[in-house]
Amino acid sequence: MAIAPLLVVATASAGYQYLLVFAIALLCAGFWERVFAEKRGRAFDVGVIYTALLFTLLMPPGVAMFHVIFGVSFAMVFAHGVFGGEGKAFLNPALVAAAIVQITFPTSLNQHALWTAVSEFTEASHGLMDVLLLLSIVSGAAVLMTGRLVSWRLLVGHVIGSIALAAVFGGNLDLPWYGHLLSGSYIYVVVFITSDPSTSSATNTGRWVQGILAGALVVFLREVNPSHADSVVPALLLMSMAAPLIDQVVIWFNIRRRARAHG
Amino acid sequence: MQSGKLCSNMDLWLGNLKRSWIKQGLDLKIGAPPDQVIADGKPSSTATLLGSDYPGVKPRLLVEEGAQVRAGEPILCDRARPRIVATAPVSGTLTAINRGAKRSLISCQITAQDGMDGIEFEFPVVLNRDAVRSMMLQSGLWTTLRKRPFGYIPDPEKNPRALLVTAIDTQPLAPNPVVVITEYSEEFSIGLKALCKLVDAPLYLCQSAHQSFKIDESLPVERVTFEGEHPAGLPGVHIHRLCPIGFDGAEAWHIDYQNVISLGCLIKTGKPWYQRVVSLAGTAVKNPRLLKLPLGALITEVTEGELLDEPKRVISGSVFSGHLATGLQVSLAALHYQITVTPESDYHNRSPLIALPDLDTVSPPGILAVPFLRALLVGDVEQARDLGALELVEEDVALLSYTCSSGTDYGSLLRRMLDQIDREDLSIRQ
Repeated sequence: MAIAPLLVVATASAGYQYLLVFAIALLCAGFWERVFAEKRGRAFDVGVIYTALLFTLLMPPGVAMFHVIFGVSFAMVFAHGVFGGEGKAFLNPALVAAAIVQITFPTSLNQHALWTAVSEFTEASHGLMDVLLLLSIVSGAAVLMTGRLVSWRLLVGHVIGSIALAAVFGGNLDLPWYGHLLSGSYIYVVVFITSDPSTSSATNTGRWVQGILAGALVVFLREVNPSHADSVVPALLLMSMAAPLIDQVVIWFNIRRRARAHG
Repeated sequence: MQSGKLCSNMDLWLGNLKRSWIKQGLDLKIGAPPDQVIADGKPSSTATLLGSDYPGVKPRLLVEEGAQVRAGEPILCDRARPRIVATAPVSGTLTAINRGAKRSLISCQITAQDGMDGIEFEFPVVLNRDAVRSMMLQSGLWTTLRKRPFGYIPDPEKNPRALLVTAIDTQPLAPNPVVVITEYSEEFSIGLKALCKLVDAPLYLCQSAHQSFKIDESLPVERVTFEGEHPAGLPGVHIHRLCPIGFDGAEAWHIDYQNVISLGCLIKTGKPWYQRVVSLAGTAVKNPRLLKLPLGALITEVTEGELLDEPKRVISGSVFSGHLATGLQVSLAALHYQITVTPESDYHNRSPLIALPDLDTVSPPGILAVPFLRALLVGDVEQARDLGALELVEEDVALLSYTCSSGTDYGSLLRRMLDQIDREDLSIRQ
């Protein structure tokens, strides 16, 4: 429900092609979910609709159908199904699918209708569509936070991390201080994909750490390697993978504090 | 985690802690709160002792089925520590002894009879440690003490690091302790005075920050106020703040306000208080209010004519940590001061544990909710212990069970784990 305004804006701005990509992604994800549900004897999870939707918005409208099928299949099998599905997998399948497409077919994501590329952020004219897109993401974040589905600590951590590192490191890209946050698919991925509680840190301290580190990593990769395609997806995927490690450190500190505090 | 840290720092700065604000918590709205005026309840034809009222005790029955008992007479004792006895709350006939798996005791029923006097206990000449202990042991009041870790009835030969009197109740629809203490202020003061003699350790009186009551200021009692939503009133939270349980084998004991009143009655009149003030409230209750009920009253008798005709569940205790009043457990547990009536519940689906941020909002202070629950789910005893299982009992994780999407009863998982830690002597960390 939180994503509904974004969907309307995206379809309006990029056209019917998105519906086609979405249909293919949904069929493909639905197929694998069905296979796993039957083999594992569990209920079919309608969350695949959400997965397909999130994935679609990360793709340029003109993406090749084969790339979509390849990416979604890989993610649904190896990042989702084999772990036992929603709540048990530790990576978001939509993000893994996008990363696989980006890595395997690097040229496929070069032109993106929805998200302003980092390199074009300052020159690009920011029209009504950009503002609407931003508004729909922010309203989505508000809905998710009031429904207590995502942690505000994680989102604020991202803002702090990216702005802080841009202040230290900035210059290469000639962006305003908020430029990193607003360019590319960054805040979209953060709000709707990596803040999913089952794929992010599970402790409050861990959420702060993960948010700040992830924000910093996105800015860092962009600044060091400006010529490369946007690094939002791989950077955030990496931080999702690091979430259990961050939690483990928090757990270790908690245990040590308890053992020291009272013998 | 942060709040625990903050508090221990504040402890150092201030020398000691008088007020404590609990950040975590949940205010659950279920039905109208009870009218906080104490009314007389119906007499109960039967008094029931539940096996679950005596945690950590392996009961040996001292009376045969069908025998006549007087109020105050011992019914059962602990096999290992025979000084710990449970006494009959009413004079009558022991009509039923119900046993469950492995001959564990589920309940004993005593059918009340008129015209039999209860036992009058002797008042000790000098009120010292041993006198108070033996009086509490003889009268059965000892079984209302609890210790952390484990939540068992403490060993009468031991000494705790602190004794806490719980005079705050934050569970939804609970009676207001201040109302009850004000009604029985004399008995409460006498009981509190005796408790000061019970242990050679600090005695904390934990109460709400909003309302207070008078006690004798000369007593060596430290009053601590707690503020916040439930679980701010749970002894687990108070112990965490005042004398945290570690891995060194030290214990904290606690007792609740109504049993302090009962101790005061025992000293004043020679008989313990065989009644409790219980709130009857919830969605389908016609007239939610406080009732003075006999100990171990049958809930079916209490609620007769009090409930609306609609699908409902009747619970002894609070909606979070009480037990359903059905089958052999259809009576009020000894330490439950409320009868909660809720709508027929929609059962949770069984799904995996999702690390929702809300779990951290309702977790007991100092506990990392999700890692701790995962340790419980996979049965990792040592990890759960290191993450704070020894500080907790079932009621402390009840809010987590309620909030978690998985529908798991973490209380019973925790109980199984605590019993295992106790059995295998794992409480001292290597």
